[in-house]
Amino acid sequence: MSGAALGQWRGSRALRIGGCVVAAIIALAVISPWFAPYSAVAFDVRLRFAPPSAAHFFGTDEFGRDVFSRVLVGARYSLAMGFGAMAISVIAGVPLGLLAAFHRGFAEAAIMRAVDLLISLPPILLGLLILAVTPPNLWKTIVAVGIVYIPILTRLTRSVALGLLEEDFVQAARARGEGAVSILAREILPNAWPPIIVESGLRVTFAILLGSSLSFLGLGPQPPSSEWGLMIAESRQFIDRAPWMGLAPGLSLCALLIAVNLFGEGLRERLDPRLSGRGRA
Amino acid sequence: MSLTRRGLIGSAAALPFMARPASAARNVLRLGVGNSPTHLDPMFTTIGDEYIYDNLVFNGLTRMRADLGIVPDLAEKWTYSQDLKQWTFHLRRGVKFHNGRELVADDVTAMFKRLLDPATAAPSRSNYTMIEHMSSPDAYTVIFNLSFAYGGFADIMSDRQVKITPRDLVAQLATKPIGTGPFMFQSYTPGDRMVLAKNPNYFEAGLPLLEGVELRIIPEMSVKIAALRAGDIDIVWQIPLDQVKPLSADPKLRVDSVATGSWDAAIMNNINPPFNDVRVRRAFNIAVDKRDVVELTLFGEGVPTISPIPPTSPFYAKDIVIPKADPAASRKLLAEAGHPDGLKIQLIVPVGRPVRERLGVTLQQLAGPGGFDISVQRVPFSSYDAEVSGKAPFYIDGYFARPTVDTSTYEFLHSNGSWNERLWHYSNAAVDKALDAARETGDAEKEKADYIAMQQALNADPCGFFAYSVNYACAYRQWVENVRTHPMQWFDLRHATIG
Repeated sequence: MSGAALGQWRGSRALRIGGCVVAAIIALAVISPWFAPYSAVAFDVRLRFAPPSAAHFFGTDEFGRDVFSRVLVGARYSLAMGFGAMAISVIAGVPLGLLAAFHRGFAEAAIMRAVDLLISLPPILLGLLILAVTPPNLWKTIVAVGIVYIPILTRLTRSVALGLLEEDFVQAARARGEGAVSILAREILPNAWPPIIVESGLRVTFAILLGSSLSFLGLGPQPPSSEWGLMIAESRQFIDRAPWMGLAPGLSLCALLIAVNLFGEGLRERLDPRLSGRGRA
Repeated sequence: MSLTRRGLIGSAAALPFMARPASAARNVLRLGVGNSPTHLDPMFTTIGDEYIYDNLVFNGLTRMRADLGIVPDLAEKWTYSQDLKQWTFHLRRGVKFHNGRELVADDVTAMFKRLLDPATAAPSRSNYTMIEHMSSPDAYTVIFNLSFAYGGFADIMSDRQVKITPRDLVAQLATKPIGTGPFMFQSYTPGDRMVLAKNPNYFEAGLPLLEGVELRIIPEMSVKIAALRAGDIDIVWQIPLDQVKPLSADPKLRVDSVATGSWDAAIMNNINPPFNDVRVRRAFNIAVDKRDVVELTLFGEGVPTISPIPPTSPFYAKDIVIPKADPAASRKLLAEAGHPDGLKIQLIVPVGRPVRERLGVTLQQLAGPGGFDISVQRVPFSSYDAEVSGKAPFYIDGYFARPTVDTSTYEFLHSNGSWNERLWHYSNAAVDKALDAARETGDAEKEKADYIAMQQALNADPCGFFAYSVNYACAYRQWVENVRTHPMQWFDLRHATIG
């Protein structure tokens, strides 16, 4: 088996496994309102701190709520934060990157220096900064995490676009007298997509993690919702007597992150021109 | 330092396999607390961890025992005039500050002058504003003249922030505090520990029995409990209430859970909608059964109450029945108040106060059937002062027990009370009248009748939702002896020993 074919095969295996797990988690998150064995918020005083059992797979918490149901229902928050935030950074970051690449000069300088400024701040601090000034909720967390990852996509898009702008087919389009929008949308963007998709696929992992971290600090969905970061934060005070309260959302988060990462890695191996031979253009 | 080393060698040589780890200095009590004190001047202390230190290094004029009785401390006796407006305290003679200077009446008056000066901005100033004039006819007598009759004046002399400090060394209180207490300040490393050593010249001969005390600052409760189980610390202050039962099962430990006057409540803003309507406030009080709240939020370690007066107090109105949850009646009241479809409302809870956070989630769940659709909003406790207190329509807050019924109620419930305007903006003529009357009478029976009348008026027109008086629990290694769990949540370690 040749090296290229092996890469292709391994890429698709990572893609398949990661894709299946992510799809399964998404499916569970979607059907959890009907599928979850118990209500995620209902108390049961007699069953507080019950260890994992056949009736409660992940045990119960300090109010007797079923941790398994809470983890299932909570999956949607992590998914929404990961994919929602990434959508925001793509929607804002890619046009900015294209703009910076096309309009060298003042526009580029302004955009890229703003990007440098954002990148120089640690992501968690930047997120805290955005959230600290207003009362937190899920949507604000998504937007905050989205903003944190805009600079990375802007930089990536710009560097890809800069390379493409030198290509003959772009020069040809310019020679034909096509306008900036037309060149960016019809010539550059279709060819810049693969690295952008790969990068965003991998960044979803970081977005989920950052979202959960912010939520752990109290700047995310509010109780009694069962966002995983919040569940871990709440479980801390009971860690020595009911470790399952923190382990269940923690390991779920871990599984989701590994799956998304595998999927992103698979995408990279599939789409990266350097790995699969010279592709398009 | 030499003290530590001597203790270490002593214990290691005498009993190499003693239960208490040989690394622990003999007779130095290690007390696990959660926060680093931010003030060493007792006048400015505001958190429980600091109050522990206040009561080890300093003395007040009077002392409150664990059974809440008031006994002499720096004042060996006191008298008051018939009208309760003039109080004379006779100081103990020969009490020395840790630097050897004798404590005299001028130290007492200087301390209160500093406390009452608005420029000092002392947090507890409002508790002592009845002091109109002070004088010291001789070095061992202090006379307080009050602007109004105040029966509990000797009681509030035992409070945390009115410890007597040397008048000539005020400037160094913040860094090298000096008091008269059984233990002397030695060193303090924020985030790590505060080291106190035995005061060899303490005015009660033979006390304290310990060689020293270390306040070990360990923020994470599970770490503190692990340290206690391992014998690395001797006491964990204020254990979480859910730990009371599991820790009691450990034969190496002794767990003490005592009733206190500390309370938590859902604060409602009485001047803005929707809680300016008494029907809405009453609806909430019958929508939720306080007994369920105690079980869910406190794991049963507390008692439902109707005002800051705890059910253990002789002034508690025993005849008032805490209602069972009646969602239908609650919905009906809400409808009468103009909320036929129930009330959608945000409840603010403080981040970092786990019990109060849990109270918020409990109420969110329990008040649902009664027509209250609550969304919980967590806000850092540090921004409460600026954004929440007295402003938000609906939030969770709570207060430590205070030494007298008057200090526990007046400022919170009287329409002129200093805390009232930072909480509910409550105004009820009957409550005001009863509080004023109770404060000015010298007669215990009359006082009791007034406080019961106050609670009845409050129960009919609630200012908010007083959830419970919370228990306070500490865990001790069995080798710690002669320490009682004090309902004011500080420690009296004069007689403590390590067996």
